[in-house]
This record gives sequence, structure tokens and C-alpha cells, in this order.
Amino acid sequence: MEILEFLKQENISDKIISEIISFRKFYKLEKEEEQRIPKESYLYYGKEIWEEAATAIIAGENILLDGAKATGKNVLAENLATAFARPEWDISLYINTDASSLIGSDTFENGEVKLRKGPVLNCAIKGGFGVLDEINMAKNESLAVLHAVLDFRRVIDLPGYDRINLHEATRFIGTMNYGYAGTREMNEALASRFMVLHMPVITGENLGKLIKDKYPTLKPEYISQFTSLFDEIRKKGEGGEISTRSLDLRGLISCIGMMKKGLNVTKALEMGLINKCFDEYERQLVLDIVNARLPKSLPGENIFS
Amino acid sequence: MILTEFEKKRAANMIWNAAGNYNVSVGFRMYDDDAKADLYWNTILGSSYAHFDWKKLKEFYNTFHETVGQGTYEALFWIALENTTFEKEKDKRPGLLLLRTEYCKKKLREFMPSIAESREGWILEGHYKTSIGEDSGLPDLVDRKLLDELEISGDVDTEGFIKSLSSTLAKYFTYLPGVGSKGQKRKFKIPIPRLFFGKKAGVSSEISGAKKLVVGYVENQGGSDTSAFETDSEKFNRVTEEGLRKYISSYFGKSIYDDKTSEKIQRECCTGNHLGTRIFFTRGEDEEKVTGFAAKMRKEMKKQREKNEAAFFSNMKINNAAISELTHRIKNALLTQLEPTAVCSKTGKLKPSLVWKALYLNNNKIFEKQVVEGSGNISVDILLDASASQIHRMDTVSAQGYIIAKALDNCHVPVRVWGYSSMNGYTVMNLYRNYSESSKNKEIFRFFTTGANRDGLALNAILCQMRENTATHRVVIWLTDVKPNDIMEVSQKSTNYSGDIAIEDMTELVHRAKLENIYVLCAFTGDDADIPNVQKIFGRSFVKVKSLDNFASLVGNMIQAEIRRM
Repeated sequence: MEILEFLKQENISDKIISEIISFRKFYKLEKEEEQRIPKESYLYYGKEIWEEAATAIIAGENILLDGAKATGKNVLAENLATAFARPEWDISLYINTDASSLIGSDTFENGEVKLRKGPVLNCAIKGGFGVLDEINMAKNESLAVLHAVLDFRRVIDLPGYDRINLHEATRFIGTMNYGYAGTREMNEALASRFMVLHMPVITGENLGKLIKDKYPTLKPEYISQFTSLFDEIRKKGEGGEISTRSLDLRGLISCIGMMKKGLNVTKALEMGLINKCFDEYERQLVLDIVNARLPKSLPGENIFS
Repeated sequence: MILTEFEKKRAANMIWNAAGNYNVSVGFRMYDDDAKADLYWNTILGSSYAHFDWKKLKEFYNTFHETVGQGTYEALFWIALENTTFEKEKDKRPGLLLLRTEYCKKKLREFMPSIAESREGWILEGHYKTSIGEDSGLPDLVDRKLLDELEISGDVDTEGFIKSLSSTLAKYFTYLPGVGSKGQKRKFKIPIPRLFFGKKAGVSSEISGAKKLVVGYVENQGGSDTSAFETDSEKFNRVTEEGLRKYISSYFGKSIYDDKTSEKIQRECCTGNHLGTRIFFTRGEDEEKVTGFAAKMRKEMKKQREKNEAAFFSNMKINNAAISELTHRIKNALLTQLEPTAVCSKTGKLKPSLVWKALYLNNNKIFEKQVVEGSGNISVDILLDASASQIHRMDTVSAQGYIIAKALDNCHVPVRVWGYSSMNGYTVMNLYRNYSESSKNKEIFRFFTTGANRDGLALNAILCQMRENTATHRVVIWLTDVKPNDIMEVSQKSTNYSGDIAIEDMTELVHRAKLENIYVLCAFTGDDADIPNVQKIFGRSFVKVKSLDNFASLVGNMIQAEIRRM
């Protein structure tokens, strides 16, 4: 389904959709950049978040998506790039991320020293959407280089090279999971350069839509079983009984794919969710959830019409 | 057979999961003959929490207490509850039918003739048969009707369930609907064997800590919902419980938390082997009115604080040198760890001296890149055993605690210092300073020893507190003689908290901490004979403290090792 069709189906305001269309028309793309526009493999369901995020992008803002695991942060970021038809750069941040890995550094080519452009610089020049994944994993000092990129100045000053103005269509989308292991507090200077969206946990209804969209022949009663199962695993994680390893939306979707190929339901869930807990205790607890809900010997093909 | 902590937690998780609520205070947990958590029954129990008001159900159940038909009523209550809950839940959980069928078939295979000799016994057998789609096989038409009425459909609410079961019991037995247990026909002192018990009353069960019922083994965990069962003597105990809490707060100081938070922490920490004991957090601040023995002890504590402080300041020069040395060592370890390493790279800052390599050797690694090796921050919790066994070394322990805290402060490593001891069923956690309270190091001189040590509970309390700490590397340094000892019995085990049970408990907790990425290091002050226990609990993460005078130095070694591991 074309993403604008999807937005209409999700009752996103007509005004926003027409703004997105105008944005697409106004900012043309070079042929070679088109391949960087993500093809939507998953769709983000959630009208309010869609409207808020799209409005911020239209208004020229950068956005920060804050939410727990499996809330669809990266799916939304990718979907936004698709909707606005902009090339996307995935920039995964980690503890040792430094300015040169973001902007670029010197390299040697054909007998001369040249600038090797980093993803932020490329994104800025080509008017792409840069997804700063797990932004709070990086040290604040390393991200200070982005301050001028993200605020009203919209420039990158390269020492020894030019001062580069950002392409008008460039946007940055940060994602973070606050309080996750290995993350740190984001400083105010950086946070103030983003519009912040708190991503809600996917609702049962929206998860059901997502599954149905991916597997239209799955029987409705089993769609509700899988959404309830996912909700139960999430509650167990929130209750502090298990880690969030098995709370894996991609894993669940892949499991259903294997069931479609005929694999036993419990076996598929073992591979896709249960075995992601490497701790024996956790694994048993998740297996109990599955067994309390779905018959052990249920063949995969039986759940499809 | 022993009921393991793992199976207990598993059973509780099954109930919470089915209830869809992790705040449910689980009253009963069910186990099979192999002491494994019973998935079917625990799911039914949990689901019943979601569908019924358990407080009302328990009030109703309580009316059976010590009545002439208690065993029968209780048995029939569970049959009815199982049936109605199953009916409500079966469409939501397609797996439940299979679990029920497997369960009933298994029970029918194991059904003991002695149980089938009682009326409720053959009713239960009939219920198992109807559950798997067979005829109940009951020869008596009245029993068939009774079973039919007991198998309450899934469209009743709590009131409907109670009404329906009350009228069935009244119709077939001598039960009086709407009347409390005292108004019911009372039983004589001769014990009536209860249906759900596979053995006669008084015979010990095969799984330690759980009673055998026909449906499986049940472990009654109490839980807040049991207040509906409170007897006069229990009410009296509760009053004295409040008195005891007041005594503890007069003795050790005000609680850090309000009653609600204390209760929440209590539920989180005092589980498993520590069920029935209490945890109390204080900073040693005086209560308003303290009298009697507690007042005397408060005075003693103040005197000891002065002694501790005086002892430290009389050796000021030596202690300052120790702080400075420890600071230097930790700082050095941190700097070495965080020192960026320069590596040759294809990108980065050009190194002119290497340009020739690119031109003549086609080696483009002529740039320098700084690789920072640091990986996250560290926090340290110091846990000091403040039981009476440390009575002769209060000044030394407090001085060494101060040295460590001060040195870590100097290196900007967040540090928190605790002391713990146990008395009258309470384990008291004395917080001397929190992570950011660098100005409160002198509070460590409050170190005062008294009472016993329930080490496992103290560690569990620390782990609960540390869950809010988001540091990448969380370390607990524990000064202990690894001789856990508390006269309060271990839940369901009729034995003191000491010896093998306590060692097992500590081992499990240290392992659990590791799973939560919290490293527990032991500064061991006990005898060499206990080293096998120390190794069992901590593996290689311990050092033997031969003299407490070098405790700070040993802790320095541990922190250095931990920083290198980062």
C-alpha cells in the first residue's frame, strides 16, 4: 500500500496529508538519492503520533522520539522519510561516537588528502532525514558538534573546509529509550533543539492492525491471541519479573511468518520470542505465558484461513 | 521434595499473568506432585482474580471455618470456582481446554480410592470426568444434580457465584446462607479429614512447605487479601506488630519512608525465605519521644559515635594519608581506563611523518584516530555488617568506611554507605550517606553494632534500592563474616535463618544480582573454615580482610579491578 493511502486510511488530517504532498513536490530528488528512500516494511499505527510528528517535520523542526522498547520509534522514523519521500541516513550512536564519525574526517585518495564525509554531512547536503538512533548513548560532548546543525543556524562549519548550509529539506529524528542500560541523561542544550514525542506503547488494536496488515489471512481470533500474548509479556517486563528481551515485535511478526510456512505455533514462538531470553528462569516464565494461552500442538497452518 | 524458590516465583508469575495484574497479592499457589508450579491451576487462580472480588470470596470461604462441613464446603467451593472461571476464560485462551483436559486425565489416573470413599470425593471424580466430556459416572441421581449445580456457568459475577453456591450448599447440606462461621453448625474437636487433602490431617506433606490437596499441592502465602480471615488473635498480633515497629523506630531512628512506601518495599524485599520478616530503612534520626530501653540505647549510640569520631581524628594524619593514597589509586585506574589511545587509521588527523607510506607503499593508514576506551560510569554501594559480631571493631570499621567514601568522592564516583543488623524480626538498614551526599561522610561514624544479621534480606533490600540506579556499572562491596544468623524462622521451613539454608539464600541472591548487572564483591572478615561457603556464594569475587586496618586498601584493589573490567 502506498504510504499516503495508509495515512488516509488512518484518518490523518487531510490538511497534513496535502502539506506532505506539497513538500514532496517542492523538494525534488536526484535519481541516485531515490534508492535511499526507505521502502516501508512495517507501518506505524497511531493517528495522534503521526499527526504530531508530521506537523513538526512540516514546520521545519527536528524531532526526538522517546519511548520504551517495541514502541515503534524506528518504524515511525523510517515511515516519515517514506511519507516525505526523502533519503534516509541511519546513524547509530554509541558511547565512543565522536564528532568525526558524525561529520567526517580526513582521508587519503588518489594521492591527496580529502574530506571523507560522515553521515550527518551527507544527510545535510542532500536534504535527507537523519535518524540519530539511541541518541542518549553518546556522550553529550560528542553531540555538541550537532548544536549548530540542529538549531536555527542550520550550518556545519568544517575546520579546514567550507561552512556548509543545510539543505532546506534536511531534518533530524532522534530516538531514545530513557533509563535504558548504558544510556545517559541528555543535556538541556541538545534536548531544546528537538520537538519531543513520548511514544506510547502500541495498543492492542494497533498491534492487531499491524499483524493483519502483514498477514491478511490470519484468523481474527488468533490476531487477538497474539496481541494479548504480547501484552502479557510486556506486563511481565513492566512488573520487573523478566527483562525486555522477549518483548520483540519484529520477533513476533517473524514468528507468524514461520507459522504460515507450517511450523507449530509454540515452536515458532520459542524461536522468535522465548529463546531470546538467554536466562533459563526467564525463558520458563515466557513459555508459561505461551502455554497458558495457546495449545502446545497447534499446527501453524490451522491459524490461517 | 523441596519446593524451590524458582518454582514459587514461577507459580506467582502464572497467577499474575492470568490476573493481568502484577499487584495482586497472591494468596495461594498450586504445585504438582513433582513440586513444579501447576500451570492449569495457577492460571485458573489468576483468572479468578481478574473476574471476581477476592475479598468477598474469601469472606464467603471464611464462613466454612470450623463448621461441621468445612472440608466438604471448601472442596465444593474449589470445584465451583474452577468451573466458572474456566467457562469465563476458555474463549480467551484456546490453550486452556487442553491444559484442563491434560490435568483432569492425569488426576483421574492418580485418583486414590480413599478419596472416592467420601461424597465430595466422588463428586470431584465426576467433575473431572465431565470436564473431559465424559459422563460423570455418578450412580446417585441426587449427586448428579449436586454436581450439575456446582458446575456454575461463566456468566455469574462475585455475588452471583456466592449466591448460587450458598443455595446449593444449603440445599444439599446444613449450610446457612448469609450467616458467618460462628452461626453455622460447628464441628466437634475430632478433626474431619478434608477432601482436598490427599492424606489425613496431621500427616506431613511430601513437599516441604506445601500441603497436599487432591488438586495438587497448595502453598498458602498469606498476602494482603487474607485480612478477611483475620482472627481475634491475629488482630492482637497486628496491634503488637505496630508496637514493635514503634520500638524499632525509637531504637534505630525514624523510618526514611512513609507507611505506604514502607509497605511496598516490604512486599518487594521480604519474599521467599524472608517472608514474615520485616525491613526498616532509617537514617538514625531521633523519634520525638523515646523512653525505656530504646532511650538508653540511643544514648549508647551517641556515645559510640563520639568515640568513633575521636578515634578517627586522633589518627588524622595516618587516615588522611590513607585517603590520599586511595584517591590516587582509584583516580589512576579511572584515568588509565579512560585514556584515549591513538591508532593509525585511514581517516582522522593527518600524520605528516607517515605520508610517504601512502605514496610509496600504498598504505593509506596515515591518519591518527583517538579511540576512547571508557565505557560508562560506575557507582559503589558499601554494605557494612553491623551485627553484634563486629562489636569490638566499631571504630575501625567506621574509620575505614569514611576513608573509602571520602576517596571515592574525590574521584567523583557516586558512593552510598549502609549498615545493617536484625532484631525482633526486623532487619534494619541504616543509611549513612547517599550517592550525592558528599557532605555527609561523617554520618558513617554513627556505625553501631547490635542484634543479629539476616544477610540475604539486607542484600535483597540493597538490590531493590539499586534498581533505580542507572549507572552502567553497579558495584556492591559487602563487609561480612558470612555467618548469617537470625532467630526468625525461614518461611515454611521451621528453622532459623542460619547454616546451609542461609548460605543457599545468599548464593541465589548474589547470582540474581549478577543477572541484573550488579556485581557483589565480598570483603570477608570471617574464619578460614568458612572460605568454602564464601567461594560458593561469591566465586572469586572476594578478598579476605586479615586486619580491618587495611580494609580501605583492599576495597581500593577491588574497585581498581572493577574499573579494569569496565
